[in-house]
Amino acid sequence: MGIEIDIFWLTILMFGSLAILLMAGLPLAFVTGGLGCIFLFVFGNVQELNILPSRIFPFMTDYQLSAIPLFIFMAAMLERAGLIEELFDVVYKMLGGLKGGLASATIVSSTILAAMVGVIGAAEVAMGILALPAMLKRGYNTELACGSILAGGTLGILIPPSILAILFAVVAQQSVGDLFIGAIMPGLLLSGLYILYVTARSYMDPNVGPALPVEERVNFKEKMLLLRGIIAPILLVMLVLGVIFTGVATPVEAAGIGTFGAIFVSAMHRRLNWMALKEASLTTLKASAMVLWIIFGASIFVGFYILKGGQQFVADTLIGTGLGPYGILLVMMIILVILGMFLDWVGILLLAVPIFVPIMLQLEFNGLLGFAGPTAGITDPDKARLALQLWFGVIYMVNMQMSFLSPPFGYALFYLKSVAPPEIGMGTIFRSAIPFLFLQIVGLACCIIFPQIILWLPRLVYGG
Amino acid sequence: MQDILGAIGEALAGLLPLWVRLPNLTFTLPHWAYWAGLLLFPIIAMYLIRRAEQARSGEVISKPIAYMLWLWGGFAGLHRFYLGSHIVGFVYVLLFTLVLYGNSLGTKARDAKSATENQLKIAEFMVKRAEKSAARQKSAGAEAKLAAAQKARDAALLKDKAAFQDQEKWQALVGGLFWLIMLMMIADAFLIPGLVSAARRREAARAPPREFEVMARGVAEDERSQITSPLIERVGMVSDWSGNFVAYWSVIAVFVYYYEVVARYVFNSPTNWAHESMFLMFGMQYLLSGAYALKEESHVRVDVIYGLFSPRARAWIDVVTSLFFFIFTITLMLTGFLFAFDSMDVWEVSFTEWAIQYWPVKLTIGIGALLLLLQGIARLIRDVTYLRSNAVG
Repeated sequence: MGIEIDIFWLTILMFGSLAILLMAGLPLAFVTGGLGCIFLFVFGNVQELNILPSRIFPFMTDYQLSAIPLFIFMAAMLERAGLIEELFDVVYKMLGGLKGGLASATIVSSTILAAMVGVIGAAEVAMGILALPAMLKRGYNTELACGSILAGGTLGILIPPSILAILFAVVAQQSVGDLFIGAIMPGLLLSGLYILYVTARSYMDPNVGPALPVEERVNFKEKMLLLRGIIAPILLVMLVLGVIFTGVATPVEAAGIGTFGAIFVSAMHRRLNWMALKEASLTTLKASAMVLWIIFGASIFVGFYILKGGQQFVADTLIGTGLGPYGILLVMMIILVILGMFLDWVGILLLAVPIFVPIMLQLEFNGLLGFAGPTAGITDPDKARLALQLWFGVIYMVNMQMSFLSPPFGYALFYLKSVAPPEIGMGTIFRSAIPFLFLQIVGLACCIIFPQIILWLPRLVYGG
Repeated sequence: MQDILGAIGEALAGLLPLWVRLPNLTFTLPHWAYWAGLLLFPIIAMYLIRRAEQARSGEVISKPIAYMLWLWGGFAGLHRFYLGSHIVGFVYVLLFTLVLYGNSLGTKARDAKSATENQLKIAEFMVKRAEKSAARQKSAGAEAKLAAAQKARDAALLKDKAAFQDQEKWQALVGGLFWLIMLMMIADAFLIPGLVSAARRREAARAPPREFEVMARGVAEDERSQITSPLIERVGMVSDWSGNFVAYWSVIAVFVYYYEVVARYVFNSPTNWAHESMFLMFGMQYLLSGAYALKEESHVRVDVIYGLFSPRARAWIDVVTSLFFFIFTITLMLTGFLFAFDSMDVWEVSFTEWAIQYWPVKLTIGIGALLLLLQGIARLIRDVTYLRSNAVG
């Protein structure tokens, strides 16, 4: 029909209708896809609808994207190998003697699990089933127990291999390997902060997190024997991450080795059969269909918005506020957290990243509070751009992690609620998330003020 | 370490016949085999799964799995680890590590060999030039130059020979190790049945593993899911079947990527088809799985407000919002088929060495949208039936 409209009103119209339809419960993929078609027709013509398949086809031939189903398959296979129980069992007995040891064990196991799975649901639910009753039985403080499960579980999308990182890399057109490596230190930093917090609280008030009674502890020799059960999966993770970090194989090939390795681990744990393969395949299919159809729909919607100059409009508006680079970054992060209260991470990524990343690359970050910025000391403009892109990518991932924990609609909260004993209400779970949310803010601030936390390891690996 | 291995390699180079070398994998997947595999593998998998469901044997250690691991990971001893004979497994791992190590040294030696070859060619060229100028003018200077050039050539020849021997040495070592592993694997092929029963006896006392289900957040199923009709059921079966069919493709990917990595890093023969065939397969899978995901409620929705409504109100809302769903799927279906027909007209293939046909891949856009549309129609019928029955009752 070819109606002309001012970009300001178009922005309001597009995102207003998006919000209304989303609230009406239509799946995000179809909201964005349907609206995209309508807008293409109303503000363009019938011919323009032909861009639909040509927008989708590049995703079908995207090499890096195939890492998503592969890593999901690997995680699904390891899950069916009964790995989560064994892992928790081992770490629990190792750390049982410490005050707050079970909470620390939860976080440590979640961190190791995060290196095997790329999403948060499975780890969150499994820890809720295993660790929560164990901690409650020993008289742990309910909020501390819930909080450590919540916070540990969200590490899954940060620590590689993370599906979020793969998708971000595809949308922002950067290297998956870089993002994987860049996310390690922030992930460990957060994990360390959580452990520090639960340990400190347990030592200040032993009633919050008592140590295991002496008769339940195991001696050193038994601890070593326990390790045998989890050696295969740990080796597998080291192999997969190792080949990515040494650059021997691409992340996709690493995922391929990982899936085969997961099948082997499953055989070693005597859980491999046709049924397990079938269930893992179907889980993978559902998860990747969910992600990919949102990509298809959203790429049409956002593609149209960018075509009409939407990205320039957002950039002008943000820069016009006169906030300065770090102010704009803060505004973006607040927008992300607000979106995270309502939207799924895939949706946020597809809606926000294509618009935010080009804006970020236009800005100059010269450091905060007198510390060096992300591009300090890099003279080559291409390398500086890469460093900036990587820095923003990882900050984005840490930020997204918070959206899982932020009440009222953080996903992690609901995952835990679905498996927690009925006497633990939603209010308790909300309260338990708050201190960890605060720790995440601290971690995020560290990553922004000291960009080296993110950039140090990739620089070490790639030597440049 | 390197010296010891080098000495072994040298000895082997003298001992072993020339064919005892690491073979090259030059297999390229033919196009017809790719398409046939995509069509047949899921059907075979479905058949095997149905059979396994019927004959639920209590055995946790299975012979087919042992042979599968033997075939695919036997060179690293995976079947031995599976059957609990770790020591032999570690022997395999050790030999395999040596193969990888020898390979990396072999690559270095090959590079060195091509460098010395180049130097030799230059030296020979210099000799020829000196010969010519010496033939033209018989001066002492020219003679001396010729002698110097010949000396340089002889030195280069020696160096090249040494480099050749060095290369041979590593190739012989890797080749010898490779065939040793092969022999061990052939022996194991006969030993596996015995090892399986031994492992079964050892582990008979082991407790069966615990199971638990992972739940997802979402609106609980309401009474609408009870409503059915022959049409709804038939569409549901189509969605189910298409989902199951493409789901098994993931299993193909496991083995193809594995093959690619082994071919590249063990046999130094990367394929030109593994990556392309797999990302195209996943591309088709994404499209064809849309309907199944809709049936299984896997497409995420924001249920903050939606979840607060009564089932009846939710059904009304779904009927209204389905308009947007249909606009999307119908547009996608029509434009998708046009897109594929354009590609069919020119028999489009990919711009790669493998040059696989593109049109079937493009055709899945239209087919995927069609499947999704059918499942959407079934849901609409279900919602409308529910609303009407509820209005009457």
